[in-house]
Amino acid sequence: MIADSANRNRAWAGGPDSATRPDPGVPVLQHPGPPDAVRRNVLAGHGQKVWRIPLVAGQTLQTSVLAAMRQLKVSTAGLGLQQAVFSHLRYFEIATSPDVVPVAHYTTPRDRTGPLELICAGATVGQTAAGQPAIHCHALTVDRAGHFVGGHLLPQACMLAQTGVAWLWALDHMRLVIGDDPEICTPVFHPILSEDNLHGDH
Amino acid sequence: MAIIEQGAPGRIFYVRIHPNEDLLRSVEHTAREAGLAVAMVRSSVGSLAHACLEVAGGRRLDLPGPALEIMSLQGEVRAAADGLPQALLAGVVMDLQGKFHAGRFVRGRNPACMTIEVVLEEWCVEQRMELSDDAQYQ
Repeated sequence: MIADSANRNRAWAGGPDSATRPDPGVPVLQHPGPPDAVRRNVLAGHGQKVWRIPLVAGQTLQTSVLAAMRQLKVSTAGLGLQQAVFSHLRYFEIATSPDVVPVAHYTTPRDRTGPLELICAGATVGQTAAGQPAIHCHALTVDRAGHFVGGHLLPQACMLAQTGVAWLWALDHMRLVIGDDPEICTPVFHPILSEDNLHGDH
Repeated sequence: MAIIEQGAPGRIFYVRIHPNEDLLRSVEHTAREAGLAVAMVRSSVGSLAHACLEVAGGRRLDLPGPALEIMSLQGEVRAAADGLPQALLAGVVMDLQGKFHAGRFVRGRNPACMTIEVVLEEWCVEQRMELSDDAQYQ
């Protein structure tokens, strides 16, 4: 056990371990790159704040979330969209192709005009390698006819029709930075414990 | 036994699950390592190489990959009768045809495709009480 009774932020990595593997017979993938020795990253934070933020009508999902985060001086977060209506949604669906190296890739962007009512979503907020904010968000919405619409959102092109609500779990004990993962040959968020925590035993 | 709990949030955990590692087992193992008695999923985003969802009546839906997007994930982790953390997580996934499926994720049958990010918030129980036998249902 990696108990941390002291009020201290810490990080650890899990290596190959039968305790986290799927059952025998469940299909797993052969990715194009060599498997990373790290199979799980955990970053534990103490005293992080939770915020309820507005998703402002007329703004994109990205500008609305980032405006609140700038004001709160939060740069890394878990994001829960609770209530939103979109006038426009741009998103990717997932696809496979023998012509691309990764086992899966995204389609060209799909565009849908609203109103589209949010059903559920999950997201994290971090930065690109160049230090620009980035939101990784998957969301499911429903249109006027009751049909589901959703996928991997492009938050900079998802327009809010009404003011809604999101919850923000600050993760400022760490940073999330997009970088290539050599195992999957795809850019993903890499978690890094913040420099403030890099002194002493973590 | 119906229990009412009162508590407060504690530590927050960001977990990145790498390809081919099982979603529930990775969450449960993290809870075990961290000494987490109870935690709630606050946010999650990622993809699965294969999905297995339990729906009403205990029926299981096995959804082939190689890639399914996790659209939502909610639930909690808490100690089972044997004292070990048990994750009860439900959600919605999207398959390669763009169809959506929902249910409870089955342990050992949901390996990550590219990455899964999970944010867990600890729930520090301060008091527990049994729901009264003469609880008022109106």
